[in-house]
Amino acid sequence: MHTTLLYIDPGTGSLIAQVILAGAAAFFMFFKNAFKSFFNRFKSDSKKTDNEQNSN
Amino acid sequence: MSSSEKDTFSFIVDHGSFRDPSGFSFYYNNEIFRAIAPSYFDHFELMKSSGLYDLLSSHEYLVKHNEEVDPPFLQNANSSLASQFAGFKIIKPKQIPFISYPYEWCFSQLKKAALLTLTIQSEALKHGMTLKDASAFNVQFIGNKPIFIDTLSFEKYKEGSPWIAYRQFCQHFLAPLALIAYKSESLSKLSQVFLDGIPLELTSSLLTMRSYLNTGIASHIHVHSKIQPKKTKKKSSDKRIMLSKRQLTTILDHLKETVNSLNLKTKRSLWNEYVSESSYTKKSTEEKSKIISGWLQSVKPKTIWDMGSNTGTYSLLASAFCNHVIAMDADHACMESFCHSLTNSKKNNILPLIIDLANPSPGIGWNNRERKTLIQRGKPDLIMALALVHHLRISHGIPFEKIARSFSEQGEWLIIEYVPKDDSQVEEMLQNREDIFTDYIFHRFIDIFSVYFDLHHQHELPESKRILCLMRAKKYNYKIA
Repeated sequence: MHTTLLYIDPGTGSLIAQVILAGAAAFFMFFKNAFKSFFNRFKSDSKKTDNEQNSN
Repeated sequence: MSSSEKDTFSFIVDHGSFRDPSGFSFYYNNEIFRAIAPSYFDHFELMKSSGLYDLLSSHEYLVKHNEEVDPPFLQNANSSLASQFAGFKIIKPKQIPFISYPYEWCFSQLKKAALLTLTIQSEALKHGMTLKDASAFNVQFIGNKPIFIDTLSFEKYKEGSPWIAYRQFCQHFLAPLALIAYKSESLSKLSQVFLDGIPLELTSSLLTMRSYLNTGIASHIHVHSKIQPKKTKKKSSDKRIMLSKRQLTTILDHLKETVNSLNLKTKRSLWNEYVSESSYTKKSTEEKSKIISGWLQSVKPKTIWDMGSNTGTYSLLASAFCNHVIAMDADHACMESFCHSLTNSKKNNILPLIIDLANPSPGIGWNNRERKTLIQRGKPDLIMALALVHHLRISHGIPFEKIARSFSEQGEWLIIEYVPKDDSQVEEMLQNREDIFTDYIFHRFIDIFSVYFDLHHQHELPESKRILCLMRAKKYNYKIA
């Protein structure tokens, strides 16, 4: 049987904040990653084009 | 645990480990041990059986320890001491060369410690455990590498539980990092005032509007600080706040991203310019290095405190002749630049710390003893005070007598550099003030230091008029090799 030795005050506000912010964080990270992958594709496309041009 | 601090077995309870009921730390013959209370055994066993301990300690994220089945201090202990340990497990962690505190770290050290804490929490979750606290005091540095020292911080993760230490993490790490990044590096010292981290309401009010553009700071500082339940609400309403493991992992990933997004504005500090623009010529710099190396070779110190280290040129030199160097300087930018060069150099025996020698870290916390003063945390075999004495005497107005006495109390050997009044650095200091420092003459300096020290060698540096001296505190009755 595990007992929890809670000795710091987590702050009720901070527990609620995690529930709210988990959604917000997922939203921010999704868009950031989508944004990044879009530009990376754009970059790799341009690199590809450069390479193709060089090989020609 | 009894409040007795010391008994005949040189057993001293650590004053900084009384809050967590899972155990306590103590010193025996100057080595640190940890006693684990029976109530924590299940969590401790889970940490071992889940493979978390092996993983974290093999990467040197967590300090390694040995279980002491028959500890030396209990072998001949009296019954009262033995009864205090009845039922406790004793572990001996790997010893940390020097205990430093978050308010002595530069930005990049604090950032490394924050990322280490988040990495450990992520790994703990994968192993069915969680960190029950996220205090910055749980991280120490061995050289330039952070290591988590609180083996008793892990507990079993209960599905659906939010992270208990989330607020503590934000207050201990994210708040000072954001304040340094957006406002001023001198705000790192706020952690010294607020022992449990900088309050989020205060942090939010101090930060600039620009910080709202950082989604991490906007979420974990600004929004977080404003979510406070009304006190009139019944307690039962907030009893079951559930957060899935996936949501928790998302928060941790976002915190990591936020910490990584914070960077120090690079400013050219006064002391950072010092190395390149000082009056030293190439010849005098070479001579200075040669003389110091020779003296260090003959003294063979184990630990060196380089006081007023600037960007660490001589700490690097000294590190080749001893086990550990603690480099101290009041200037944040200097230490930041030093930490950066250490990361590239792979030296692992130099710890740079931001310390104002005219106002070193005090004892803080309960009874002023929870966090120790600088002087209580160690005694170097040798102090290097290079191009420092004019700052202490002229900028801070500390008399030679007090400087000499302080150095003689702290260390055995002293390499000190005397900077004469006609040096361009001192001339600049006295440019806009009255020169009241009539005692600032080399022979007066030597006379006063000779009360506390024996002068072994002195050497005038070519093309600079500065004088290097090697001294040994008189209280040590010695034989030099």
